[in-house]
Amino acid sequence: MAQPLYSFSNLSLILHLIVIGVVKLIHLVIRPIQSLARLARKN
Amino acid sequence: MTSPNLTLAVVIPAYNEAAIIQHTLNHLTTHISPRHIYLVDDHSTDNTTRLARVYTKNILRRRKNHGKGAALNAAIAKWRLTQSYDLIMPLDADTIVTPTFFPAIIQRFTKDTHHHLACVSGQVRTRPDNWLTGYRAWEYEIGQSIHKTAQSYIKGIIVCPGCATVYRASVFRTLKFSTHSLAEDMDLTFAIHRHHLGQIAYEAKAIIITQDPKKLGDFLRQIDRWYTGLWQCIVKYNVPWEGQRLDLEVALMATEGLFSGLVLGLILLLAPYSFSLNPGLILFPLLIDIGLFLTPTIIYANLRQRQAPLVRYLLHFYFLRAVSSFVFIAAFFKVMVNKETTMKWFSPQRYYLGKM
Repeated sequence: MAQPLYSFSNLSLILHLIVIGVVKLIHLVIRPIQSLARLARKN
Repeated sequence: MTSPNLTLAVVIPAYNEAAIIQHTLNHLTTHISPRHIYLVDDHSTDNTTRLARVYTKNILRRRKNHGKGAALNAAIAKWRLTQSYDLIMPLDADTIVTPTFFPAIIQRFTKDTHHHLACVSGQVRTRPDNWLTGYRAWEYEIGQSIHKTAQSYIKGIIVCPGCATVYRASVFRTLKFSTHSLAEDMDLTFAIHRHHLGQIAYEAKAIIITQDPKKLGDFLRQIDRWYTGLWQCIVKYNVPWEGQRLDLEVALMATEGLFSGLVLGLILLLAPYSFSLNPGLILFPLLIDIGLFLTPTIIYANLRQRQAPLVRYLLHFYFLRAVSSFVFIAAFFKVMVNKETTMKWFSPQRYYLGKM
């Protein structure tokens, strides 16, 4: 496989870690809060 | 291979792969029926075809060597794979498919009921048994578990590895593998983005194990081919001027690669002068780079892969990073200035992988 040059990509590394962090945060925190809010609205 | 709804064909292009083809097919036939395995012998001069015939009857022997992309196109056309299968997977002759690969990929496609996916690429791993393969193991881990995962979230994956990607057969009704690229898998990935053929997903649970160069000469030839192929794709697909997320990702990676290489070259050139003037000028950025980026990412790769400590190769890694950057810059000048478009097969020395 052709592998892009990432060995020196420190800025890309930081930016991609931020993207992963944000997505994980959405999964871990915001979605359960949304489900709770939906439940609360139903009740 | 067949799931309740999906059929899958594996196509193996091979050129002088006698050393490992039996081992690869032996593993592959434990996961998939031989009648779904198709091998194209691209005019090998060894007995690749004879050895492969024990495992599959679907063998196409080419009269001339035309390269990997042309071999894959020939197989897809000869057996009309786009008509008889839902999914097509090109597989390198040196690649071992682990038991998790097909179930994870098929599950991903099965869930995609609206056919948004054009392809799903799995995780590539190598066996870090010396400093070169250790470096490659680190590169793969960072490249996939961080860069590719993030690219997958923002729908901007740069490359679907040729050895670990399953495509919807419909992709090959629109596109063919490039016969003029040194990185045909990257070329196809760029083409999928440009033709808006669907999403490209990354599935970390689908693992394959590939062979990587164990000699410095092979390593250098391989990265030269990859980076030259990357610059060729950048020119061919007019990156970064088409406004896709791919453009953003490639521009970021390429700019950083060029910048880092030039800065490193400058530092090395001026090292004797600046070191005598103020050692901190050299040591401070070096320590930041090693302490904040290189060492933590090596430890991270080690923890993820649970293999022999890669940190012992720290200095080797620094050397290989520098060499990679210079090859990257050289490839830039080869493509952008010399307009080099040569295309040839390159196979590093093959090694028997042993029991998996």
